[in-house]
Amino acid sequence: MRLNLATKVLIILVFGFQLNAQNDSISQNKKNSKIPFLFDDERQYFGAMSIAYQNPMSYGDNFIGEGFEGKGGYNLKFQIYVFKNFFVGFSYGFSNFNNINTELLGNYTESTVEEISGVIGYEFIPLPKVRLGVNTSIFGNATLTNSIQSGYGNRDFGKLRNFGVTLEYEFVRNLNILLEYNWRKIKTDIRVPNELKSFFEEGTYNTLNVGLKFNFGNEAMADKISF
Amino acid sequence: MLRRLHFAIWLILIAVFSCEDTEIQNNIRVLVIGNVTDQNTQPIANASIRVYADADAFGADRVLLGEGVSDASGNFNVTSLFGPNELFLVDISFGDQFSTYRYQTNTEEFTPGDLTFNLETIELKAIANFNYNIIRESGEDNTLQYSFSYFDADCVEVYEDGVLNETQSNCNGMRFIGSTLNNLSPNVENRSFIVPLQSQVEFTYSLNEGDVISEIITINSAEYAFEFSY
Repeated sequence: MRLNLATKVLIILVFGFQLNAQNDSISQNKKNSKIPFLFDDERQYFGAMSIAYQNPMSYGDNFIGEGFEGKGGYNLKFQIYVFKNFFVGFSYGFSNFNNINTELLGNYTESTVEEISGVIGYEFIPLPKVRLGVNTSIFGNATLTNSIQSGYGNRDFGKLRNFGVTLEYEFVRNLNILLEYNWRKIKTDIRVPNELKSFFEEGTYNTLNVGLKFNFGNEAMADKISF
Repeated sequence: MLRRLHFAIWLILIAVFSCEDTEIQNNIRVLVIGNVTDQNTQPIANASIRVYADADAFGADRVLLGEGVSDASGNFNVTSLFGPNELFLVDISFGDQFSTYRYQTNTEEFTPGDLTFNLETIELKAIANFNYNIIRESGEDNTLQYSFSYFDADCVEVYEDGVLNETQSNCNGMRFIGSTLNNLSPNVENRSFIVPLQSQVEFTYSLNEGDVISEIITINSAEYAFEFSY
C-alpha cells in the first residue's frame, strides 16, 4: 500500500506525540548509572523523530554514479530506543537527481529515488550534549521514478542498503541539530542486456543530511517494560 | 438541436476512448547497437541515433526513448527505455548532406531475447539536390512527355519478429516523377528532388508523342542543375 507523504508524516507525528504524552506520567526515579561514551541514564530518551534536508551525491562505476547528478531531497526518521541507546526505527525519504548521460541511461531528464527502510543503530554520547550515532537499514526498498519532459516516464525498483553516521548537538532540551552522512546502495531489478548488467545491477550514492531531531520520553523501551 | 448534441457527445466519447497512450515499461532497458558508414564504407562520426516509441493510435505521442551519437569509428551503442508499442523506431541521420535510415518494428508482441537491437552496418549516402527546369522554346502546340527515374536516397527497413520484411521496406527503391507539358502547362521551373550523390538519373522524354529518348545523368555535385528545352 502506498501512502502519500502527508499521510506518512501525520502518522509519524500522531504516534510520536502519543508516546510523548504517555512518558510524561512516568515517575522520574531514574538511576544515575553511567558508562561514559555508551549511555547516560540522565540523557536517555524513549524515542525520536527527525526531519532533514539531504544532498545526494552520486559515485561509482554504475548507472547512478555515471549518469546521475544530485539535486536535493528530504528524509524523515522515527526511532525508538529499545535498550539504552540502541534503537530501531523507520526511515522515509527521497533524493532527486538529474540525468546527465541519457546515452548511457535512456532518455529521461530526471529521477526521484523514494527510499523506505527500517533502521537499527546505536548512539554514543562522547561529550555533554553531543551524540554520535551509527545506523544501518533493514528491509529497505527504493523506487526510482524517471521522468521524460513530455510527461512520460517509467519506474525502476530495487533493494536499498544504507549505512549512516550521525553527529548531533542538543542545543535545546529534546531538540538536536543533526548532521548525517549516509552511504547508499540500490540493488536493482532492472532487466538489461548482459553487457549492461554490471552497470545497472546496482547504483551507489551518498547523502549529506542536515536537520532537526526531536526527542521524547525519558526511558528506553526495555526500562519501561521491566518491573 | 438534440441530435447535434448527441453527435457531439459521440464524437467526444470516440475521441476519449480511442486514445491509446504510448507505453514505457518499468524496470527494463534495451541496447541499440550498430555502425554507420558513408557510401564509400568510411565511418561516420557523430551521426545522430534516436530511438522512438509510438502507440500509433489516435492522439498517441511519439516518445523519444533514447538518443546518442556514433563514435569516431562509426560505432554506436545507445541505451534506451522500452515499451510494447505498435511502432519502435530507430532513426539515424547525419545532417542535411546525407540520407536517412529508419529501423521500424512492432514491439507489442516482440522483444529481442537478448534485449539488443543490432542494426549492424548502416550506410548513409551523401545526397544531392537535383534541380531542373524544362522550358518550351519551340512554337506553340508542341507537347513533351517526360519522366525522371532515380534512386530514393532514404531507407526504411521494417522488421517483423526480428526478420526483415522486404515488401514493407523501402531501401534503394526506384522513384519516378514525370508529366506532360502542353499549352496549358508548357514549362516546369525550379523543381527539385533528392538523389544519392554519384547515382544516376534517367531522363526519358518524347516530343509530340514521337520516339522515346532516354538520357542517363550522373549526379556529380551536391547541387546538380539540369536544364532542358524543347
